Amino acid sequence: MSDTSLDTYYASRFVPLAHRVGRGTLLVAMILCLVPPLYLSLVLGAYPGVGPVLNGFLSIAAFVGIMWLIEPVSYFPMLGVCGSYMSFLSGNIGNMRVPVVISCQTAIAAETGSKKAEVAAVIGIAVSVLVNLVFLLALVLVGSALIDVMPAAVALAVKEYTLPALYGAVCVMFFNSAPRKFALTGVAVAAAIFLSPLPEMFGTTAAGVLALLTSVAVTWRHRARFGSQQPAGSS
Amino acid sequence: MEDVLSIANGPVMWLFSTCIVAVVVVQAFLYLRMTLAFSDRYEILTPDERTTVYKTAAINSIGPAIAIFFVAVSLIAMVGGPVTLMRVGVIGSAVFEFVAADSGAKAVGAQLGTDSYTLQAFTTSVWVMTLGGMGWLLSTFFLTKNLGKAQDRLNATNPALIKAMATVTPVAIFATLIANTAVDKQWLSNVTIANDDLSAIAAGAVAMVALNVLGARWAWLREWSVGLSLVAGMTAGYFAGIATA
Repeated sequence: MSDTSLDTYYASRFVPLAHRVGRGTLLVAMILCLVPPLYLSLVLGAYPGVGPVLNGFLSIAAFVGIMWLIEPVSYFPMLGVCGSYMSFLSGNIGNMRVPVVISCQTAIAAETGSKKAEVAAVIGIAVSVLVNLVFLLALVLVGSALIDVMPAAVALAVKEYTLPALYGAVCVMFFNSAPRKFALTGVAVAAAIFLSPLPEMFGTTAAGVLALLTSVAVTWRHRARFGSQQPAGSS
Repeated sequence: MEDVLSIANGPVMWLFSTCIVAVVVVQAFLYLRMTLAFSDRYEILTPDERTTVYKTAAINSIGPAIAIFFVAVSLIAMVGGPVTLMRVGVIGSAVFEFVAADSGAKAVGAQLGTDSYTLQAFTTSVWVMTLGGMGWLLSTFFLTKNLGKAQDRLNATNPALIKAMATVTPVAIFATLIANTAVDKQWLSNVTIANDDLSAIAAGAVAMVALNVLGARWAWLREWSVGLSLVAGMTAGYFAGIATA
């Protein structure tokens, strides 16, 4: 059907287009995000002044500032190019996008890092964005009446235990899809973070950083061997 | 408070919110279209696999969507529907936006959901949520291209490292989330284990292991794996909560 090979097409057409789409939509989104606060401040005259905005901003930047830099890096290997732009625009990464991505990849037995896994990730995230919006639209249209019709026990169980159950299930999926030694390395990294004096709120960020560094360390040997076999390989 | 909510739920805010949601939906469709075209051109996914992915994504999105829904309900009462939709539905994360709205309110000496929450306090909340969420968008905007290039280089020099990063990192992150959810501590002292959360985690994990095994025999179970594990985890958490209360 085509004379371009998959890898050439991917590198010369698909990925550049993915970056253009991603950066374009992110830029538009960033501008649109500024519209509501500007409207409230300038048109309705409710601007609180620089002081309060800066105060509020700094008090959250103190604990999420480091995540701004680390999360796009540590989630990139799982999400890929398209998946990163999609996930960071649509939010709810750890509690929705990543679980959906790994379950889609597991369902078709796609190997981590393969093109199959990447296609599955994009479809998965796109569908999850739509499902999430349907639920939220239902919420704003029907309101909390939806929760009132739920039996109290069900509402409590959903509210309190969805995230713990999700973390347990997702961790198992990632553990199973990883080569055994890398899966155990991941658990060791988490154990190290757990035993460290770091406050909980920095836990996942620190785990991401330590996991990336540990990955470099445990594969360092391969790099050297590979380099000596094919000295002119990449340059 | 009433005045604030009438503005927060007013048509202008709805218009802004709809525009932002539209960008997210448009982006999702653009990526879906180019990826499906790529997949078809090189037959990456078979039609069966594609159906499986659609179904798995739809089914397994429901549990997390309901959980987000619950956070949104409490936020909607405080900052209104439009802001909740554009911050929690897209862009941000359920937990972060709550904290951001709260610290915005506190910065002008107000409290979410009370009469002290004036239009000025609301505006401060929206500023803090917007600027706070902007950090992720900016770094994704600037970093992703370089990360892609770095990955290509590593693929040529050390593919094992790519594989390690893509598999060690998620296990480490989710195992840390598990530890933080189940155990409360200050370094190694004052350790308390939440039995109900731990039961939910364990049941979710065990159910997933079982579903993986059974999935080899009944393939459709794999599509439901996250949903069914969530039900198992929630049930276990609920009863453990009652038992320990």
